[in-house]
Amino acid sequence: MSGSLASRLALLSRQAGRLPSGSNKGGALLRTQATSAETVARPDAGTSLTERMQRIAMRAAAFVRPSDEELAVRLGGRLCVPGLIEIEYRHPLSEPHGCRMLEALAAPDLDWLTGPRPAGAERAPLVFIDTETTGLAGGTGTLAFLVGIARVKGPALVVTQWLITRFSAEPALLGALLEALGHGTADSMSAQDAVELVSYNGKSFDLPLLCTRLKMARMGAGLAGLTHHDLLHPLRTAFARRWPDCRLQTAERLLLGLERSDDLPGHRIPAVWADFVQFGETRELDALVRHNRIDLLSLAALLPALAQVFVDPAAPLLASVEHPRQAMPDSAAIARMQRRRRRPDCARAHLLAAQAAMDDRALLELADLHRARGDWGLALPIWQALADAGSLNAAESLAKYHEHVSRDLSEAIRWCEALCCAAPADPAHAGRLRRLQQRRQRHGALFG
Amino acid sequence: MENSVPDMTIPARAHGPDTPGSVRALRRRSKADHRTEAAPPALALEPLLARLERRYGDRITAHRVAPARAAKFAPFPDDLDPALRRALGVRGIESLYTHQRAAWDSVRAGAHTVVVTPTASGKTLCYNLPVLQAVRETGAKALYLFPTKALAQDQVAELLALNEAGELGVRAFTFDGDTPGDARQAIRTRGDIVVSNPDMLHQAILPHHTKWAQLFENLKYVVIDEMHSYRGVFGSHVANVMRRLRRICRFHGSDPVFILCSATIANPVELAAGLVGAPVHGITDNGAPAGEKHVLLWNPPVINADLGLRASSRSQVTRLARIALKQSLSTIVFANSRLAVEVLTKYLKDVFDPDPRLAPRVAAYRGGYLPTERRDIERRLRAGTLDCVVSTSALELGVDIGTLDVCLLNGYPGTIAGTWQRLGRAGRRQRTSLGVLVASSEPLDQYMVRHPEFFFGASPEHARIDPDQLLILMEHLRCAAFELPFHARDAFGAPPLAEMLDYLAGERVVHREGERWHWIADSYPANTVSLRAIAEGNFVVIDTTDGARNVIAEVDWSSAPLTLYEGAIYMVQSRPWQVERLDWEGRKAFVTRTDADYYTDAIDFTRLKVLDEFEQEGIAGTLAVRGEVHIVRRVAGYKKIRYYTHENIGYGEVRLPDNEMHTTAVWWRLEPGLLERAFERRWQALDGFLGAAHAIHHVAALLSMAEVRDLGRAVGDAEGRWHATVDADGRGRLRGPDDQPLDTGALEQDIDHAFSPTVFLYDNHPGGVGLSTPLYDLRAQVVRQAADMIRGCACMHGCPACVGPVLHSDEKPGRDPKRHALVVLDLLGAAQPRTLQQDDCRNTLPADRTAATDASLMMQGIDGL
Repeated sequence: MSGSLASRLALLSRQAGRLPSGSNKGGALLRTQATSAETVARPDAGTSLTERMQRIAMRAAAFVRPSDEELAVRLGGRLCVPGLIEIEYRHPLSEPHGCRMLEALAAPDLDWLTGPRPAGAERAPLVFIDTETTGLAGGTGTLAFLVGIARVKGPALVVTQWLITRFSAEPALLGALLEALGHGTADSMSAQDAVELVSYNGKSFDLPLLCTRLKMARMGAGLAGLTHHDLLHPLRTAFARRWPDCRLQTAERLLLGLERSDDLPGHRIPAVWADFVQFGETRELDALVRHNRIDLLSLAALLPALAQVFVDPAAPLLASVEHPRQAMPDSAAIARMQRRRRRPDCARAHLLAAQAAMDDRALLELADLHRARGDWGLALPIWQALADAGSLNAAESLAKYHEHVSRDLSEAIRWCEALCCAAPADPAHAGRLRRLQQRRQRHGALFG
Repeated sequence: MENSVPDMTIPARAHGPDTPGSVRALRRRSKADHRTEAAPPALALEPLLARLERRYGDRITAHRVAPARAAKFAPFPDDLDPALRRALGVRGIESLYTHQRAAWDSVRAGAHTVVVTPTASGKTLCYNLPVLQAVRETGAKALYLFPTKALAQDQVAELLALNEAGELGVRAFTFDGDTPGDARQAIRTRGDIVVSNPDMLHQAILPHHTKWAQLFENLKYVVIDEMHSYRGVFGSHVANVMRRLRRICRFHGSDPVFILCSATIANPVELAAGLVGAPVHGITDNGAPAGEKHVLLWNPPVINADLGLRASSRSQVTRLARIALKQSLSTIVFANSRLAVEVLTKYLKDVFDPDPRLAPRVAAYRGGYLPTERRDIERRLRAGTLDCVVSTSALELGVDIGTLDVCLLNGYPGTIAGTWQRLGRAGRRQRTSLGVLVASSEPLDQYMVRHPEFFFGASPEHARIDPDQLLILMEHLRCAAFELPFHARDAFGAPPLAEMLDYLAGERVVHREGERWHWIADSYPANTVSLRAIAEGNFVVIDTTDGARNVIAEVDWSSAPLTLYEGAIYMVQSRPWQVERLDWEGRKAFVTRTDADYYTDAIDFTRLKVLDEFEQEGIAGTLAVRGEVHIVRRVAGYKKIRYYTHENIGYGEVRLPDNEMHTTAVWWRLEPGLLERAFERRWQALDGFLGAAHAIHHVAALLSMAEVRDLGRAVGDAEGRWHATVDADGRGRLRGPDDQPLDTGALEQDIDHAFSPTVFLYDNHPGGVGLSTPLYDLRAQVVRQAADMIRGCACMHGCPACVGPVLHSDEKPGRDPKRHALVVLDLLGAAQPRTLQQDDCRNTLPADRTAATDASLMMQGIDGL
């Protein structure tokens, strides 16, 4: 029966218009998320179930699946409970990662990211976190089979990784993680966080995934309330306009000076674990564990590196020979963020330090900082120069300045007319112009 | 279904005419005040009806008047929240209709409940009252599901109005593809009532159910409105989504009560139970009032008595629409295909929208238009700035387009329920209205208009679903495995769960560990499953005129070969585009604007081969079989048809991949001995089988459920050695396995044992969606009623209305397809062949359709949507 059910399904699927793998899915123009993952995951679609089962059995027979204990030893770890392997690795703070030292992690600075702390508020110890998962699709069908954390303990950064060798060990992994984060398996949070998390893209990926898994395992929502710093966001602020992408490995290369060798490519990770679970294939498991460990070390090293970028505009960055621009952070974006964090002086310092290389956005930001302090004499020439070069934002600032500060109505109207001319579709300009003209009429009636 | 006799009768001609100016004023009246208004005037309908009777009396084969019906009230329940009661008071509601109270009592007792009532009968209160009460009482949550986004948005507006009126503090949100990302978090955690559609539930909510934990943990009610639209493939998908929903609810510790609302169908309780997967209590006694309604059956005049040819229904509908529009009566025209909608719209626009600078008075509305365009048309209809809309079944659903005066049906829509739903589009509130069913030359149409007692007496169809259809079930099993691991003791559909999951394990998407199966693939299965069809991969139509690249429409996979072949004229709002290139693999059609004076119609062939026989019955030399068949369909070419004259001005070739399909079918054949005794020559028998197939196809669609297009038909050899087609000259031809025409001499031969023509009716969806079983059960009736239909036709030797497009019936001596078809059908029906002379042309109603044939039943359902 299973043979006929299977062959029937394969046949019907083909006739229902399912394309062979690799070809373009229809309707993709209107659909935002047409995944090809499904077809990729079914390389044998069309062959009979029996054939496929045989193939799987043959593959499985080709490997001798080691016992969990043997595997734990091979990976340099220990077996906590059946199915859960814990691996610990110590990296002295005095040793470099790439060309960065990690000593700064002993007293890490996060104020540049969170804004000034209230006096007396202690920062909880930092825990760096990164997961490896069965996929990137998200949703309830994706599992974190490897979770790694890194903490400073004494003179070293200690990396702890938990790897499961079967699905049923997932609750044990989640339990070990919660315990390490000081939560036990309790549902509620203590008033004071035991730790603060630091991740790379963890706010949109790793943490929601772990929360989902905790709910699936009925282990509460323990992680949801933890303070969490996602370094992807400040990194994007500083470098999104400079770098080809903001992946962790790009940051590693350009900010930490680290080139990975023999690394397991990220897209292979789900297949490596699936091959292990389904066939007992262990060949690439140690590469997988190493990949996660390097991710964690880089994440940790990134914190002081980014702090330097944000705090000290004069600090030297790694220079890339081919692309000197890549070594220059986006001072306008950093200044804007520092202003949001209520550090206008730092913002100005960033802009001034980058002066020679300032683009229009940076100049506008600088002029706006001057405006906020009432330094009109410094702001005006910048706006003037930019507006003459065609900047609408600068022209608008000038129109506002002349309307509200210098009260030179005809000058305000002149800039406003220029704006209306350049951007006729913007109702704000037309409204301002109308208001100004009415005022001039009233003014004329009173004094003329 | 209970059947209540209207207790108020208003004479048909009680109302005087009104000024045309009041048309729009009335249409703007809000939904809230429908209860307090007095019976409004009949508008300009009276003179229109009188004129039609006077000038076209011979075309009107029946004129029925459904009298207005008074309301039946029930008191508010004692335990009704006072705030809710105040809110109802503010909205002008001082008591409940009986069905609203019955729904309250049933739902509050914890029973899954289906309410069957027409639109504008206050059905939304049937679910809003218990839901709002529970939200306020216990902080319960509810999920509302509508088949379309537009209906969901209408509903939230309604809820918010009630909420505001009573300051109830209930938070209701729509959640659909247009909901912005930053609003989704708030909806997930704060929404008391989440209003969505099955597609979003399937693709966005269930696969992320942990994020929706607050909803699922407290989910007390699931509301499914427009339930009748969940039938066939779509319904089978939705039933599986409900399986997944209830599974997720169990995980989160809830067990919601389902409240369903439906337009009139034969089996609402059965359909509801199939969708919910549990017994459902039915409420069918409608207490709402209704306005007077006139229904005309209209047969176009005969223009060639010899050939039995009548004027086209299109010409009649155009004429009726022009008369109605000239009297400022707002009008909706329903046509049965997208092509017919475009052609009719063009004809009406040529008259009423000659000046492109003025706002149009006529618009087309159909699936495939982009949502913004559809919303715009709906808005203009509600505002009364559009006088006429020409639509496919897309407007059958409860999309709020206000009240219309006249509804014209260009051809019988294929189902009784669908006919009344469309007719209900006119006069939804307490207004006198007119509906006209204009018959085409199709057999069923002719049968309906010539047998008004059948039409007015017929019970609506059964809506059938097959949640265990293997392809559909497996798709949802994938999705369910993604949402939660399966345990060996779980159940999901009828087939053995372990076997299905092992199949998925073979695909490496799930992994078995002990008694559990876990999702292991790096994919999101819901994204690759569309609820609206089995076939996947819609085609997009891209306008490349002047180097542009604009998407102007979307066409589903199965109809693409018939509408998007290279050279086809593709129409949107009756503006023609020509298909320049079809990228089959990429699912794209590239079109450019054209001003062609013709449109195109595809010519397709079907070949069929029997693979397996499941069950069969042989009586007196006839054999009826149900089994599995292999179908190959090929679009061989297309005809170019000139506007207005409808003359054929050319052919084009089409080269597309064959469309292959395994499906289930029912077929009939005769012992060669019987055939030999009945016919002299092969061609006579073939004519008979082709004519019989045509009649059987249409009758089967009527009796089984289904629309004509849900079933396919073929005449051929059961071994696949040949299949028969009707050529352009109206004669049967035999074609071999590769579509090559066989020697015509073969047809002149005597009948022998090698010649065994067979009529096939097959389920027109890959794998079948459960149509063949009811069809097989009805096999005797199908044949008997097909014979009755042909016998009852007024033509001499066969016409399009009975045996199909057989044009040259008198060309050959002894050529009489009508008689031959009757011989075949009578043999198949295991009855003694009768000669035409012996026949009286009266028909008897089949037994099962007389059970629920009180005419007032359907008239009561008239204003059902």
